[in-house]
Amino acid sequence: MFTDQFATLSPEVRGAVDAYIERRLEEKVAELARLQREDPSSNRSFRLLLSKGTLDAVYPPLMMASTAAAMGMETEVFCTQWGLQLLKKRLNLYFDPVGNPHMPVPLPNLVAVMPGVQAAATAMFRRMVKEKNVPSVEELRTLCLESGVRFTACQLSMEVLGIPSTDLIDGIGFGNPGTFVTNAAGARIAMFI
Amino acid sequence: MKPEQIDATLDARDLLSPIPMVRATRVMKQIPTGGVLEILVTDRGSCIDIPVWCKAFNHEVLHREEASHMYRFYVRKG
Repeated sequence: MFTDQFATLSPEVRGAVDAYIERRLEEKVAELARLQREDPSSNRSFRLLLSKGTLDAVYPPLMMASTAAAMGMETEVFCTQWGLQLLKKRLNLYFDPVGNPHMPVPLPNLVAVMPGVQAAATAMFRRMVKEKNVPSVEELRTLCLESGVRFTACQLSMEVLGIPSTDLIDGIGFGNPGTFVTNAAGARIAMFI
Repeated sequence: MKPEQIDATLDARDLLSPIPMVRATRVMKQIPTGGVLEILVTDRGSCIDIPVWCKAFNHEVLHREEASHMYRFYVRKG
């Protein structure tokens, strides 16, 4: 009905109305975008996919996850493949010096593969972390859980690697790649570590 | 401006980022809106984190001081 009436108006009036609507629409869109940006509760979710399980590799996701949770974001760490090591009741993480070009003491791979070198490198890494007053992996994991970070174990990886759910800590969720992809699709931030 | 009344103090000295922020989030939950939290940190990284953290929660940094490697923040809960 309105469109019929609108068609009868003179071209000048129609042009002016169009221009007004366009301008108002732009303002409205900008305002809504600002409101969404400033609203802390609007879809602030952070999804991390962890696939590595060495001592040095699990630090960044734990740091990121605890920070995101502290920032009030809904945070999930999806642990797949070797990343499942992070969820074990008995944490047995190693620092791998083989093929690592950034060792504090440059170590040729031929030496790095010798028995005992991995254990020594792991002890060195733990000492470095402790000297700098950085929490251990166990402490950071507890901190994450207390701050509301959700850990999800990949069911498929558990079956492939033969890890029973009784080996994993309490208070975690279980999911499949589909779960992660669906959640990540709706997340503000999704990353792979 | 330095506030006259403080509702709680968080001593996060010798703790590295992100621990002070995680602790501050926890302490903030106990404080009513408009309350003031005093945060003590020694980690330089946390000095960058705290204003960002405040922005995320709509808190306001009322005042900050720096003295002998220690930083003191007064944050009003938003």
